[in-house]
Amino acid sequence: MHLEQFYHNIGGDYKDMICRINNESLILKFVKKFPNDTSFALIEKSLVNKDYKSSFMNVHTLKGVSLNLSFKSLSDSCVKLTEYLRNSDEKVIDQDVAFAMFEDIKTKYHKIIKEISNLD
Amino acid sequence: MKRKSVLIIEDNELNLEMLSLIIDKDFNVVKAHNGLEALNYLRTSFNDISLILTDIYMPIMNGYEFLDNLKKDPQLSLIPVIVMTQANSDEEELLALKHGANDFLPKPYKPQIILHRISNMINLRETSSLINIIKRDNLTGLYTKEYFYSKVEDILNQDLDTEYSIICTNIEKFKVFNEVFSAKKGDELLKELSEAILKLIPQDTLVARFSADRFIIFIKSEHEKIYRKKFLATSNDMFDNIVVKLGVYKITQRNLSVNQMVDRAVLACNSISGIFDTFIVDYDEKLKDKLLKENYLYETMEDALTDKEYKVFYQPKYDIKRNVLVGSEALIRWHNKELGIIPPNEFIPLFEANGFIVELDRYVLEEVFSFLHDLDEKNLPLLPISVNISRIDILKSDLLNYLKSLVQIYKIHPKFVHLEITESAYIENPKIILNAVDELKKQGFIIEMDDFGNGYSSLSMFSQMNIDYLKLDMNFIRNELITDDNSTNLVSFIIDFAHKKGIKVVAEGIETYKQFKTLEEFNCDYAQGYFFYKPLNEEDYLNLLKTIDKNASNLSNNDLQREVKPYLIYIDNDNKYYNFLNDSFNNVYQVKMLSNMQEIDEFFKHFDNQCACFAINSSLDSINTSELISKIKTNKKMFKVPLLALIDGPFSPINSMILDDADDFLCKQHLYKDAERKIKKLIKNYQKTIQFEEYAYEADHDYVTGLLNRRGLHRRVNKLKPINFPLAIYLFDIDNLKFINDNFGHEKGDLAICCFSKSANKYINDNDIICRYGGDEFLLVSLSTKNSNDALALGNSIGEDFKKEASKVNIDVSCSSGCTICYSKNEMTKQLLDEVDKCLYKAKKNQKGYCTFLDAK
Repeated sequence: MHLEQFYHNIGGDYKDMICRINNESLILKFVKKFPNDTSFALIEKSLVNKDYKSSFMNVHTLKGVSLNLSFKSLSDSCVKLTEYLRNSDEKVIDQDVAFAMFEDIKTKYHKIIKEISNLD
Repeated sequence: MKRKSVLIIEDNELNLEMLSLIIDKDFNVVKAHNGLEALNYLRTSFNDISLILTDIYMPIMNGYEFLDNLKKDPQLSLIPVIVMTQANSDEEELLALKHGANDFLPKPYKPQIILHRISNMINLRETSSLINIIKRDNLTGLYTKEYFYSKVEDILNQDLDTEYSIICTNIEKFKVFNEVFSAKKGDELLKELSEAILKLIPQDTLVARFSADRFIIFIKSEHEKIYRKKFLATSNDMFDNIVVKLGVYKITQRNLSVNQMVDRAVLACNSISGIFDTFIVDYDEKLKDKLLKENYLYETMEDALTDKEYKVFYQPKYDIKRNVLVGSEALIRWHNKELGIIPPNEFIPLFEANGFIVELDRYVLEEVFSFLHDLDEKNLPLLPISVNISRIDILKSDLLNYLKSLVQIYKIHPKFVHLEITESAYIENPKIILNAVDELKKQGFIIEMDDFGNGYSSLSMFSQMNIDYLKLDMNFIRNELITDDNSTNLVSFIIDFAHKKGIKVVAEGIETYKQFKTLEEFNCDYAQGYFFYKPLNEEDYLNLLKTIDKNASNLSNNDLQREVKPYLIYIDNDNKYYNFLNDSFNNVYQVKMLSNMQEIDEFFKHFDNQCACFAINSSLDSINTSELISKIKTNKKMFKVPLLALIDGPFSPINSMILDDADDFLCKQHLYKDAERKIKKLIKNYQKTIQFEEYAYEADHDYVTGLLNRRGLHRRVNKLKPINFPLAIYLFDIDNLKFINDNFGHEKGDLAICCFSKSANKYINDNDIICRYGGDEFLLVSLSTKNSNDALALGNSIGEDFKKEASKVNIDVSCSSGCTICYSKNEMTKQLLDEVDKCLYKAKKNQKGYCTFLDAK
């Protein structure tokens, strides 16, 4: 699959990406490394444990990574959760709300992973 | 262009990868996963990093904490930091700046912006730091080290094609110059030198002052070739008192830091420090190897001692005239297990610098004592062994006590261990060394001065040095061999001077027969060198000792007894006859043939021996007989020697020149055995005459004083002629000699008498007569004294002088005398003497110590 197609499929901003890094092979390289990133797995884990601080750090990281790769859809979802968790005060945070937001992220994340496997 | 390095601190792998890839386009990348990791890296490698790019949120130490820590460290705080912030986060941006970040870059990564920002930041930082550095040295106006480094780095980065070199200059003994001429003069010197350099150098050359007297020059290699000669010529012309040396490193490895490049030039420069005739050297790999080797030696030197890798070798020393072994010098070799045999000149200077020499020298001393002990047990000749002692041993360690303990343990008398101390040791620390040497000598050790001629000792110092032997290096002898003429030759002078002071001379490094002969001519006492033997290991030396006669060796300690055979000098051009003479007389005499005036001159010039007989073929054309005879007769050692005139055949004419002086004649055609007999008889008669003369002398002279005795007096008086008169006759009497003999012993008494003899001899001529008339009485006949006034004056002068001479040897004594004038031989009777005696006696009663005149008329 062509890169531009990929970006379209996952709700990413191909134009933005190509603007910043004007080198398709390089972008491809980075995209292929995306699955190696550990932040996603750590979000779920820390949410279950109600370790909202860690959750915040990790989703923040994921946000950064996805922004860098212009995975706009994913990064938007991350922003939501990030902001919700920002204060990380246990008393305020509702685990269910957090989890709901996380589900959204999860969907998008898995979509990306799937699409990456189709990339040539 | 040499790439600069950027440190990226980011905990997320993917982000780190992305950034690295982006930045790697223009810069080398160093990665760290958190602030702590980054700090640890920076502590050791801060020089390598031009800029830090950091994320904020990281475990262990986040971005803000990292900044705080960074700013605390003065070395690190100057490195520019760019923080990666969130897009649209004023808060993060502000915090970043507050914590001391130089700038921030929002995510997501925009490679072009990132790269530019980094570039700009680095340039800005470098420019400002350049402004911060002090550019020039106050005194000389040359660049400072730091500024020089920056500039050179810039040039090398920008100009990749041109070849450059770095020159390091060194002023030899600048420190000494400062001390001798004052620091102010030293500064002036530096100023003048730097001005001279600046005038000479082409454009685009950088010159910096690195330390007190070290200048570093960065110059295009093509210019360097021309410049080096000019510079050396100029600087060494300008200054008489100093020598400037250069070390040059042509830059071949650009990946080195400027620091390292300068180090190479410095290394090159240092390697020729102190080397007499080398003023410039280029760096090469050998120098680096040299440094590495030195390091290795340093690391392994101590273990080598415990592993007994140091071996003592013995180089035999020979008595030149007698050609016998008289001892040896202990030399050390390092049998290193990895590098093989290392000669002393490679490790001794190193050990002296780090003080290890003390342990090594002690080890050698012990080995030598132990070896001597071994020899003694085996009943082999105990020839003395010389050991080299470093001045460090004397200055820094308790050498004397150590030696004493060795003497006790191994039961070897100190006189068998000679201690060799270099001349330069004396010069550098005269007082201490002189004292130490005195102490050592008191213990019975023998002192040798090594490497004489390499330093600059003064004559007065030389007199103070309490040494027994002087060692001359063959190189020194070779260099000083300006003329062959003994009278103006420095080496000859030194040897004679040493001999006069009772010091024996050893020559080292003898390699050829010619050198050996030269030394023999110069009266050098001993020699050592490859001409005789190379240094032998213990076993070989032991075997050598086994071959020599033990008795012969004992003589070596009572030296300088020449047991050379007397000469039989054969003046002719006949080898056959020479062979006959040699065969017949070789066991008793040394037969020498001289065939022309040149050879005769040479031989006579250096002749310092005994001569038994001359056999001269006076019909030889190449011989100027009258000149030869004249030479013989005017030579103190030769004039009484029997002269045999040789003629070719029974009817050959005899040279009239020789007729008067020849003691006998011999025809060469006579049977050999007849000739032999004749010569032997001639020599025997001559020896009888000598013997007779000795007896006659002894008969006529007093044993103690050497003055005439009464018998001698009569003989001499009888020989007086009318023309000698008038003359003065004296009777001298040493006052209270009995008192001295009784209270201080006859030795003192004899000494007093000798003093008188010494004093009297000062006031008389060869024709005068002085005699020991009685135990303490002396009779003097002075032919040059003609009247009473002169007589009295002379008598009192002798008296005063005698008092002085005696007091020099702590004897308080005087003499009295009576004198008279005699006008003819007839008057010289016993009665006259009695009257003089009475007069003297009377005068002594009154007052002792003066001269009284007797008017015989």
